Amino acid sequence: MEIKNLTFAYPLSDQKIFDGLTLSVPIEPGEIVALKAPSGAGKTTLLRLLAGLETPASGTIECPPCAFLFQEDRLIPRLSARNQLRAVLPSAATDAAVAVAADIDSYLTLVDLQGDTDTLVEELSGGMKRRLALARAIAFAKETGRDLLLLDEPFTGVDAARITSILASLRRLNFRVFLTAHEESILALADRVIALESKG
Amino acid sequence: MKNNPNQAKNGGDFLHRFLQFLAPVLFWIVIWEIASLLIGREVLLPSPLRTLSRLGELLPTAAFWQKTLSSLVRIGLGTLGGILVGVLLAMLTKSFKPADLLLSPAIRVMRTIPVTSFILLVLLWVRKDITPGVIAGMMALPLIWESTLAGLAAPDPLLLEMAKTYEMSRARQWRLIRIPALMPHFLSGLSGAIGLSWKAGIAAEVLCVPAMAIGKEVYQSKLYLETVDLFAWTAVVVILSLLIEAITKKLIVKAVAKWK
Ligand SMILES: Nc1ncnc2c1ncn2[C@@H]1O[C@H](COP(=O)(O)OP(=O)(O)OP(=O)(O)O)[C@@H](O)[C@H]1O
Ligand SMILES: [Mg+2]
Repeated sequence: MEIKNLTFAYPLSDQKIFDGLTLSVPIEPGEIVALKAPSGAGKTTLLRLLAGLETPASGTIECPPCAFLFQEDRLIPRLSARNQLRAVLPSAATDAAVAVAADIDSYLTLVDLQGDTDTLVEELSGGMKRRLALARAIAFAKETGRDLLLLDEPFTGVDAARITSILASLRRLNFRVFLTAHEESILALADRVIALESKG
Repeated sequence: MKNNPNQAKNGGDFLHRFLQFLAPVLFWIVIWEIASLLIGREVLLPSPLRTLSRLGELLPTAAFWQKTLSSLVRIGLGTLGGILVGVLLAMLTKSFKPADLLLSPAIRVMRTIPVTSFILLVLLWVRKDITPGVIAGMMALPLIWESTLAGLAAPDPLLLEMAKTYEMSRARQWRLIRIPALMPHFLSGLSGAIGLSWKAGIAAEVLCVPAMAIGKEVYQSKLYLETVDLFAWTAVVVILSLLIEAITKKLIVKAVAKWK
């Protein structure tokens, strides 16, 4: 991923979040890179720019197709965990559907939600919802053949043991992972940490 | 469906709830009886018993059912038309700025026009047996328009952005996000619209006097000071109102459950 001379401000705001930012973030398959910055510094904004959800005022961004995990869970109300994943997968026909169903369960297992495949979102705890949103991003990446994951604070409310095991799985699946985090404990698990200087 | 709170309540509390409904009704019927005894003149206020026995006379006649059914069909079809047009106009309002600019004030003004003026005006334009249906539709339309419009604006923009980012098809976005967000608004508008258009439709029948209509009977009983008939037919309107309300509520609860 390459960012050159990026300038960006949100519409209706005259505060420039980035002003001439240049950043090169090469990520190998199976590598986990963390973006570190204080709250409000622009981590979410940078990730959204990389995912093409915001348009830069000037400068260029090069980023391959990715799966994006929003900072908010953004789960669809009243759907079960399994249907939550099914909602973002390409609709498969008959016998392919069986394979997809098995895939779905494997993604839920990856985030340790295999016991809650039929549980409605409303009945999940905060950390469980976060893991479900993460599983959905992973499922989307896998089924659409994207190997880059942009994860905006993927582990809010998730315990240390599960974080370790999820990151290990992502490495094993050869994903390129770019994530944001505050906690030192999570930053310590990354292969590399990039600091974003706060723009006052 | 692990815990459905309605399930448990229905069984044991039925009698209790029935009494809760019946007791107030009986209370007001007793008050009515006392009042009619005090007044002592059937032309001014017939007793509940008299009204009931008149209803008993009407019920077995074919004419009664013909009139009731034509009113139901006439007003029902009109309401349905109003609902369809209301939904279409709401979609138009939502998707085209010019439509919004033109329609929004027009529909707002339409709502402030007194029903009676509307009835008399429409009576000039269309046949008298159709007018009540048109009126029913016109009463339903603004309510449906407004509630559908609110429902179309209801989906969480964060969810819609998620849907786009995860490349969900339009059909899926509608099925999983937009329609579930729309439904509660639409259905609450629907139940209001149906109640309103039924009453307005009957009022229109009273003014238009179509050949076969509940409203015509109401009108004639007033004309000939047949107060017992007036009460009996009004009772029919009230009972049908309650029935329609109960049935639409049932269907709406079912429809809401379907979108879960
Ligand atoms: N939609 C928006 N419109 C205007 N300003 C915004 C918007 N979203 C964020 N900002 C501003 O942009 C700056 C960076 O926000 P951003 O969400 O990228 O920070 P962050 O590093 O992700 O913070 P956190 O760690 O709290 O999530 C903040 O000053 C914020 O006020
Ligand atoms: Mg953020």
